Amino acid sequence: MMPAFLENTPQMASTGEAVLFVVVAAMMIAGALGVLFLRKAAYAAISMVVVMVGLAVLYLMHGAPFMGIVQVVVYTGAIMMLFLFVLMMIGLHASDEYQTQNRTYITVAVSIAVVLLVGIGVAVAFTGLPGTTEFQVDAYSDAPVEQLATTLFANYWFSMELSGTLLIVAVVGAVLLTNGDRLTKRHSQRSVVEAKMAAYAARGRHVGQHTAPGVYAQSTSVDVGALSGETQSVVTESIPRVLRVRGLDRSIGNLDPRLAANLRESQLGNSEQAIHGSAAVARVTQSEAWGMGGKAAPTGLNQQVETPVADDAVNPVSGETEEQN
Amino acid sequence: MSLYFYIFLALALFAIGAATVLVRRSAVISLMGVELMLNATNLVFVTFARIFGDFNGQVMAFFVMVVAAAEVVVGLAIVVTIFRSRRTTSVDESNLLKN
Repeated sequence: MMPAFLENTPQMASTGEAVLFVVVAAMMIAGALGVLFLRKAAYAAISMVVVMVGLAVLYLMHGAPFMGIVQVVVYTGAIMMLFLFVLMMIGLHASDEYQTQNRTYITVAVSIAVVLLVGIGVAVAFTGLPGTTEFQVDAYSDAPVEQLATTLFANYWFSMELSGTLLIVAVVGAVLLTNGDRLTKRHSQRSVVEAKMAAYAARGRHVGQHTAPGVYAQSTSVDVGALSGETQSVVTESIPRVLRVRGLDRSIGNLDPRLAANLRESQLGNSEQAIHGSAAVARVTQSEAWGMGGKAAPTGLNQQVETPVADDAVNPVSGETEEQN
Repeated sequence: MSLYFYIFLALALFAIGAATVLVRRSAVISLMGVELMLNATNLVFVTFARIFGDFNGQVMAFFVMVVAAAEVVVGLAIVVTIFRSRRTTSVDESNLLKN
């Protein structure tokens, strides 16, 4: 089954390891080819996860439990999730359509990969290594992790410090890079005011806020324009522009025909039937507050009104009782 | 089976990763190819650590992981920055330094 030139090399510990290796290796090669061939980046990332979990299994088979766990936690858990987050930000279905590029590029790239594979593969195959088959430490004890820790912190403590520095620098760099450049001028309170005044000088644009939509005491709906006390007409600009563009705004006549009639009288100059005309004013009953006309103000226990007064107070604007809400 | 097959598997992963970096145009997938190559070297390190019974190999693989994590963070930040300013992640279209 095995090439003759590999017989003097270190062998796997058991047939079980060989079987597990073949299965995991097949899955990893498939996953790696998925990274190479799948068009959508999200699928490529999932294939990459398969490769990395397979690597973790191989590390465990090598009696390196710490490396296996770190592989799952750091690579599969952190780095691939980072990839997926970035894919989420730039569009999950982003595809690079790599097949459409120049055939020569693809041919050269694949040739380089094949030369790499065959060249180093042959070099490795004909290199005899004085290795051992048995594990140096018991893989089922704490010894692999303990010895790794001893090696790491006894011989490589300075590299540990350096890698900590590297990680901090990487974090600061990532924060700086993702903050991004400001493409437009930053708006301060003063610059906003100056821009508004400039627009007023140039085009006569209204400086202050727009009137809020809705008719006073009739409706607060956004699709009905406000009534201007100045011009006695509807302020069209108070309705949101989107509703106006789509034709979803309602007229006053749609909301309250009598109010529309009163408005028309106002514009015709009828001082009696106008919106604030004498007829409307006369209908307003007098206030009961202190110092005002009308009944005496309620005092003491009489402030609690036991029986609701018959609601003959009419609407000051339309002269209509509150039968419609 | 020989332990060399781990090395051959790592070689195959490295070659596929190299092809990914060279062929794919999306910067994110190119970075995944780089990760594939780094993982292949890690597998070689751990395999040699077992063959020689020496933990230095595992320590090297550990440092490679640390550096790879830093590299991916900065690389993806660059990808996001380029995407925000140019609306593309293609490595062929990022050509401001050309000519």
